[in-house]
This record gives sequence, C-alpha cells and structure tokens, in this order.
Amino acid sequence: MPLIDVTGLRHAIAGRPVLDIPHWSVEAGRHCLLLGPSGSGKTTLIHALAGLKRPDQGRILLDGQAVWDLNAAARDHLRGRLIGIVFQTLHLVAALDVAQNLHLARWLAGLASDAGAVAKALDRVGLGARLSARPDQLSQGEKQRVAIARAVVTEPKLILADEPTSALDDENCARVLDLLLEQAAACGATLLVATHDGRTRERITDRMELPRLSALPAEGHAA
Amino acid sequence: MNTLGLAWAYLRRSALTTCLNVALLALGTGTIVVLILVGTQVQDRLAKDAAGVDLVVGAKGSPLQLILSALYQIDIPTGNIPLAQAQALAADPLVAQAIPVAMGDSFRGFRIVGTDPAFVALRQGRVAEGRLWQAPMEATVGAQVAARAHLKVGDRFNGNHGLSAGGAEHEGMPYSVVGILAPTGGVIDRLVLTPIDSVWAVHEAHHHHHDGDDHDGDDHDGHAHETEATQPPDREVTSVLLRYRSPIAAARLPRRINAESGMQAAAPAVEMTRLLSLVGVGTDTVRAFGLLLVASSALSIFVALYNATQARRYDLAVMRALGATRSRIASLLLAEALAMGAAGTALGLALGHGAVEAAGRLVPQARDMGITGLQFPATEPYLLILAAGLSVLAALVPAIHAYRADVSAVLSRG
Ligand SMILES: Nc1ncnc2c1ncn2[C@@H]1O[C@H](COP(=O)(O)OP(=O)(O)O)[C@@H](O)[C@H]1O
Ligand SMILES: [Mg+2]
Repeated sequence: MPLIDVTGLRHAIAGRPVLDIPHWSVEAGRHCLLLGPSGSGKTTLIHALAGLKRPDQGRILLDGQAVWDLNAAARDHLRGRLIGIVFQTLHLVAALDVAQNLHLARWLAGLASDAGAVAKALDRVGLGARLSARPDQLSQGEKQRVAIARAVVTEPKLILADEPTSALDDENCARVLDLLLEQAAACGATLLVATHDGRTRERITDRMELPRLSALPAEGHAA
Repeated sequence: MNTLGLAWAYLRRSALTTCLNVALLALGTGTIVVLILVGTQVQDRLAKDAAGVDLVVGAKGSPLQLILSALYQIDIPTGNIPLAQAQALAADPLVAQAIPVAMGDSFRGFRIVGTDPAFVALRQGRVAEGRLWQAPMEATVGAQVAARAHLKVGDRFNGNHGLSAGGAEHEGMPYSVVGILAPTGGVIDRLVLTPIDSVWAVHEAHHHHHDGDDHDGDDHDGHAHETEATQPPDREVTSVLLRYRSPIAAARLPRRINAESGMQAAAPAVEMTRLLSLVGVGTDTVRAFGLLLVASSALSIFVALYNATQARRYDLAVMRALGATRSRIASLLLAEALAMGAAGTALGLALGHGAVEAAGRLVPQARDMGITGLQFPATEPYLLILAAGLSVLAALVPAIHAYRADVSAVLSRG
C-alpha cells in the first residue's frame, strides 16, 4: 500500500490553476524529491498533504486514510501522529529551550512525555549537549538540526521537508540532506523533499516534477 | 509539556507585560478587598455596639461625637451631665432602662468606665473568670485588656488620667481586678469596668491632691469630674444609655431632652445612618476606582494577548503543523489569561487581607475597632469569579483569532 496516494488533485489560487495531479503515489519508506520551479505549487501540495490547506478537488490518502474526509480535529491528530514537517524557515519556538521544542512536538502529537526519546533524537543530530540551550543561542546550522530532530522525535511515517536546503551553501546543503536521509532511515519514514534546488538531485532518485501551470504574477507576463 | 507549562513559558518570555498585568489586577482586587473587609467589619461592629441602645444622652455638643464616645468609645466625650438629671431620666415613664456611664481615666490606653452591671448584659458580655464588680475600686476587665495587660483576678493597677495612654498615674488609689470578661468581639473587650463610685472617688482624691493645679487640658473634656468644689461634690456622669419603653418615646423623648434640658439626646440609628451615608460617598468612589483598575487590567491582558497572537502567529501555526487542534491553541491563550487572572486576584486577595491586617495591628484607631484581615467575607468568591470571567473575556477575541487563523497562509508567508 502506498503511503501517499493522490488522485485527481486540482487546486487554483485566485483563479489561477496551481496544481493538477491526475495520479501520484509514493510507496512507504521511499525517499522522494518534489521538484519544480518557484511558484509551481510545491508548498501548496505539501500543505494539502499535511491537511493544512484543503484542495479544490481530488482525494489524498495518507497511510490509507482520506485526509480531507476527516473532521478538523481528527485531521490535526492524524498530522501530529503521522507527519513530521521541516520548514525552510525552521521556526523553533523561541520561548522554549531545545529539549522543550521536542517535548512540545511529542505532546502535540499526543505521545507520552519521554525525556529519553527527546535526548536520543537530539543525540542523533549531534546536539546531545545542547538540551537546555535557547533557540537564539544556536547557530543557523544547529537550529536546522533541531528542526529536523523535532520532525523525527514523534517517529512519523512521513517526513515533509519544504525547501530545506535552498538557503544553504553547498557544504551545509549536503549536510542537511545527509541528516534528513539518515533520520528518515532511522525511523523508517517516507521522506518527501520539496525543492527547486538542483543540488539535491544526485542524492534522491525518486522524483515528482511539478510543472508551473500559470506564470508568476510577480514576473509581470501573466496571461 | 502541557498547556499550563507552555502558557508559563510564554508568560515568562514576556515577563514585564505579565508582571504589569498581574500588578494592575492585584491593585484592583486588593482595593476592593480592603473596602469589603473594612466596610463589613465597621458596619458589623457599629451595629453590634449599638444594639439595645435607643438613645444616648450626654452634654451638649456634636451628636455624632456623643454617640462615638459613649457607644463606641472612639471619640472623646462632649462633656458631663449632672447625676441628678441622669437619675431623673431613669425614672421617666417613657424609659425602660437607663445605664449611666462615667469616663475620664484609662489604663494602658484602655478606657476605665464607671457604670452599672446592667452595662455588661447590654453588651452581651459574660464573666469568664471571677465576678462582676460590686464595691468601689473593684474592676472587671474586658478580654483584650486582660490579655494585653496580662491582668489576672487579684491583680491591682493604677488608672491614668485622661482617655489615652500617657496621662499621669493616679497613685494611691489602685483598682483591684475581681473578674475578667469572655471575649465578645465588641467594644466591651477593651474596657475596664468599675462602679461609678470608683471614678468619683479617684477624681475627688485627684483633685484633692492637685488642689489649685490647672488640669493639663488634653484629653480632659471627658473628665467625669470637672468641678473644683470638692466638698460636697456635684456628682456627674458622662452619658446615659437609654432604652425606650414604647415606640412613642422615640417621638417625644429626644425632642424634650434637647429642648428643655441642658443635655443633648442623640439616637445611634440616626447618627450612624448619617455617618455611613457620608462615608458611603467616599467608599463608593474608592470602589469604583477599584473596579476601574480591575477593568483596565482586563483591557491590558486583552491588549497583551492580542499583540501576542499577532507576534506569535508563526509559533501558533507551527504548533498546528505539529498536530495541535484549533481548540488546543485557543485553550493555550485562555490558559495564559486565566493564569494572569488567577495570579493577579490571588495577589490582590493577599495584598488586601495583608493591608487590612497590618492596619488592624499598626493603626491605633483600626486596632480599637478590632479590624482584622483574617476574615473572609462571603462576597470574596464572587471577586474571584469576576476576575476569572474578565480574563477569559479578555482572551476570547485573541483566542477566536488564533482558532480561525489560516495556518497554511501564515506558514507560506513566514
Ligand atoms: N496565500 C496566497 N495568496 C495568493 N497566491 C498564493 C498564495 N499562496 C500561494 N500562492 C500562489 O500559488 C502559486 C503556488 O505557490 P507555492 O505553492 O508557494 O509554490 P512553490 O512552493 O512551488 O514556490 C504561486 O503562484 C503563488 O504565488
Ligand atoms: Mg514553496
């Protein structure tokens, strides 16, 4: 059974078509790139998969469950239990320390409090000694690793990473990709990396290409 | 990690705003608590000490002063009246009971009151130890007098001249304690009771002693003995506490006394209503001020949370992305507001009770009134509900905002 199964997905924003995916599926445990130029709807698709943005049409099955047939609370629970998300702008909760950021993720996922699991997740990204550091005391690279640890501490079946490398230099790009692949493998999760960053192509072979359906309004030659 | 822990983390992060909100709320509730505590205690106290007295007769002067001094033992007396006139009042058919009261001396700040044993019954006093006074220079002391001055039955003490501590001691005429009263919570707890004859005797001796001396003046108005003629003395009392035989007396007696005698009659009910209506204007203003403080703290909590939901839009969206339901986000904001509300109210209650208790211990007038902060009026739970309700109200709009937020839009703009 595929972990992601999308049929007849269509979505338009402000009258302009953004997504049109007749069929697409990703088998459990695979690592997949979601490629496409800026404005091709990668973020929109990630949000639709995560149950954050309802698509106009189509069906999305995650682990066999129709995401958009669930009620709002059940969808939130499904997201918490099943998915770990890494944002481009990391966004750690500044009011909480590093360990608390991970505890927060487990609590919101409905998992029991487990200091051991938190310590282990941070250890795996090499931050075992920074448990009580505040996000603003961390370097950008450390923040990136905390964000990845936070996405995997709930042992998700699916890791969604939206442009995780776009803002990084080559060295850090490689490092973050390694980390993502390694962490996904460690918890046996399916990994979907949305990116327009060509440097990721050699590392992940499964791919889904999104065409740009409409011109970017900012580019000034919209039909 | 739980809602409260998370709320706490956010409150700590904006510690200054949190403290300001808590302080505002504490000041507001504290002010209201002080008013409730002092108000109820003063009114209880006034009502209790006026029970059974329909009319107070004393020397001409301020009727309020007469009531305060004779009934509540707080002001100084207006002067004295001749014993003969007091006795005539007792014989009046309109009068059911007349209890004479003579004051002028004190013992360690406690007033020495010469009166009839009926005074004890009037004030619902009960002998706890020993007995009531019978002969001159015997004294039965109130519970607080005994406790604070460490008096036991059989002890002897000298009175001081004047109604407050610090007057010259009357040496050579000691009182002997024959009884101690049980505590009543009323004014009688702070009195030294003795036959009227004791007061006369002490002052005749005093005047004899200081023949030709001028009295020092201060605290002297209330002296039971003002005349320099000592042989034979014109006996006087400070006031008489009357109970009417029938309601008709209320219409006739005060008017007759005020018009036809050199004395003044004042009804406690009338004077106290007048006093409370005067004081009432003041307390209403202070109460409104307290409510204004509470309301402004609710407004300030609202502004703080509203700003927080704007500043924290991304945090809240990330929590949603991590699996938080809408209601969990809303309850986080409610929890923050409630935590501030609870902390502010608790602090306000503590401040209010503490301030009243401190006043009851440190301010002599409040101490005389028996003011205590350790009383918990039945209205206080409503104050808690009010503060909790206001803070929930303050959190409502921000919570609804956060509940409705479009997570996807916030995340893609971030
Ligand atoms: N909130 C929004 N309001 C208006 N247009 C939007 C909004 N979000 C996305 N779009 C538009 O939808 C299209 C797809 O956006 P997005 O999914 O962010 O693409 P990508 O992530 O591939 O760059 C773009 O043309 C973008 O301008
Ligand atoms: Mg994008």
